[in-house]
Amino acid sequence: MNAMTPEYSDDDFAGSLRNAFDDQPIPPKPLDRDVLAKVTASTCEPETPRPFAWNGHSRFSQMAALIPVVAASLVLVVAFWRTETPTASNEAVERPKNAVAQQPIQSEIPKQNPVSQLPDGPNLLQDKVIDAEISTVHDKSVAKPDPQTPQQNQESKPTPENQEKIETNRIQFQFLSAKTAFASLTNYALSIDQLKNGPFKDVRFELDERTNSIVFHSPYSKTIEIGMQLGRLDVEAALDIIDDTTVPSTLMSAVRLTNACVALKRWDAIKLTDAFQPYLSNERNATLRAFQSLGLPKGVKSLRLGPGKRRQWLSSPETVAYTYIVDFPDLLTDMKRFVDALLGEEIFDDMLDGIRDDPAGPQIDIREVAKSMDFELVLVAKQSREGNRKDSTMFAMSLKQSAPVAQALERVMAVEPDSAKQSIGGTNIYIIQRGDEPAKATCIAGDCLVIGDANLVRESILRFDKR
Amino acid sequence: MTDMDSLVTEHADAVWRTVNRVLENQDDARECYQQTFLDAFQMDRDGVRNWRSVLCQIAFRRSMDCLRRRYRDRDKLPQMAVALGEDLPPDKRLIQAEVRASVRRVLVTLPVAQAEAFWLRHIQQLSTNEVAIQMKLRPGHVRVLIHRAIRTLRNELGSQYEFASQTGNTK
Repeated sequence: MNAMTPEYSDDDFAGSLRNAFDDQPIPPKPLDRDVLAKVTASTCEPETPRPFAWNGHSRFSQMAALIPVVAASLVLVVAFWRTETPTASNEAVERPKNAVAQQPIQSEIPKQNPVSQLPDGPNLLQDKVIDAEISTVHDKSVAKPDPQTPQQNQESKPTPENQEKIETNRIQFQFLSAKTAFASLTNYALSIDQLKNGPFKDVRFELDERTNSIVFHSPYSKTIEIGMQLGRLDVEAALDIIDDTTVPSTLMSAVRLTNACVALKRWDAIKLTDAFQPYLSNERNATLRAFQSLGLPKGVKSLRLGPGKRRQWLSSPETVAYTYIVDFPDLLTDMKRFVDALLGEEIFDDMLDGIRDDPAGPQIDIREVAKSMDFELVLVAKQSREGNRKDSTMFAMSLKQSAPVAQALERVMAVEPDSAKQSIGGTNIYIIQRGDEPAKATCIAGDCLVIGDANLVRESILRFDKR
Repeated sequence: MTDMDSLVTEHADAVWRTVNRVLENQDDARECYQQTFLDAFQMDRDGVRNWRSVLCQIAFRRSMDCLRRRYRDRDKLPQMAVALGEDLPPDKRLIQAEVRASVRRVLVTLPVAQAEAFWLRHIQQLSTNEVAIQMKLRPGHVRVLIHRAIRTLRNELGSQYEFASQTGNTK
């Protein structure tokens, strides 16, 4: 752990401050009688009770606007955490000697959810992998791949011209039978149509027979895609690639959380940390507590690679898209646990009430809005080719009813000082530009609420308009 | 009508303790102490149900006003005449005095509601519900205010807290 990170709780901190104020009360002196006779102009008016104050820059307003996005972030977390219950045959296989003892997965109260009965999306190596370890390190000396000559990338060597132009991960998956896994992986990579623009674009992988492992070289965003594809792997030990310190492997959930945090941070899709920064600061413990509180959300399941036929306009050859099945009311419950644990107080409901009741705010009921959400969520990502700039991302959530969501969106944007309305074809888009940050955009197109980086949203709406 | 003398007698301790803790200066504390009762006596007293809460709220806000003046006129910073924690060794007393000064410095930069909520909850050690009643806010709102205040305090005093913890002042 980072030595500079405070490891004490808020209560410890406040208690320490209080200790400094411990005193022996000094008996008060009697009031001067002449003072009582004075008439002063000042009167102390108690502050009028008011729920959460709304202003356009309020973090609560940002959280309200970001709730669908935060919900989508959970999809990423889940996608990265997915684990497979070992089959009977798998359990019979002896574990490698260097494998860390597996801890039981901490899950919240199990819920019956019809979503869980739906089939899985693509699940690479599901039947081949028995156990695995992942270690992740910075590797800046890998040559930047040339998109025009993908075949040559396999043998490309770093040169002074192309070295360190792209920051990559070196991920080592260790298998009991790496040869089998490698064959399966190769077949998969060769078979899928999306080879050029799919999950293995810009990714090199190689078999290391000595360590019985497969090594991936990939950009950060691709790391997460690999994580999704290999989502059934039960990751038992990992290195924190942020500060290169080891997370104790006994903390199973912590390892998962670290991976998820790293994924979210590098993916940078939902700016989760930014949205919650005033409340959680950079405290790792708070983040861990929050993610631990999630357990494994039941309301999310991978559906397919790609946006689906009806929503082809959401993606292009330059983007990668995944579709998930989401139960939004369930996800809202998960979010409550997440936010309450993150802040260490049960304030999520109060926040929602404040957003609903504050006369200066948009006065929308997030719980009601969630009921208008349908069950499909499409994640679209476009990799940046400019050095280490983050990738562009966008989410599209299918709607059962567009009108209530459109109304809520309009209200949120009406009190958002940094928003501007534009029109592309017949679609109104709200562009949000805060300072120097990349512009965000949101709109309702067809039966989808679209939210994400402005460039991606604009491109999608142009395609939507030309259908 | 509430009897003034009985009000002063009943709540003087609480008011004095509040101003004394916030200001740690006899002269300033005495001024705010008197001002608190003056303010209270100008209020419409018929609608007041909990005089202790009202008086402590006024006392705290008067004290914060005084602190702000103090930090604005830095050249007039008074000597901390009230020695809190006199049973401690001198080195710990010094550290605690430094922590108290730092807390005051940060508190005056906070919105008054945040500062007050933090003060009542963590220095005066009232429960969240008691703070909510005193501040006429909902408990959820109070928790948010306290959380925000602690965020700021931790950001500002984190390094100082580390120093204090090494010297054994933590819980």
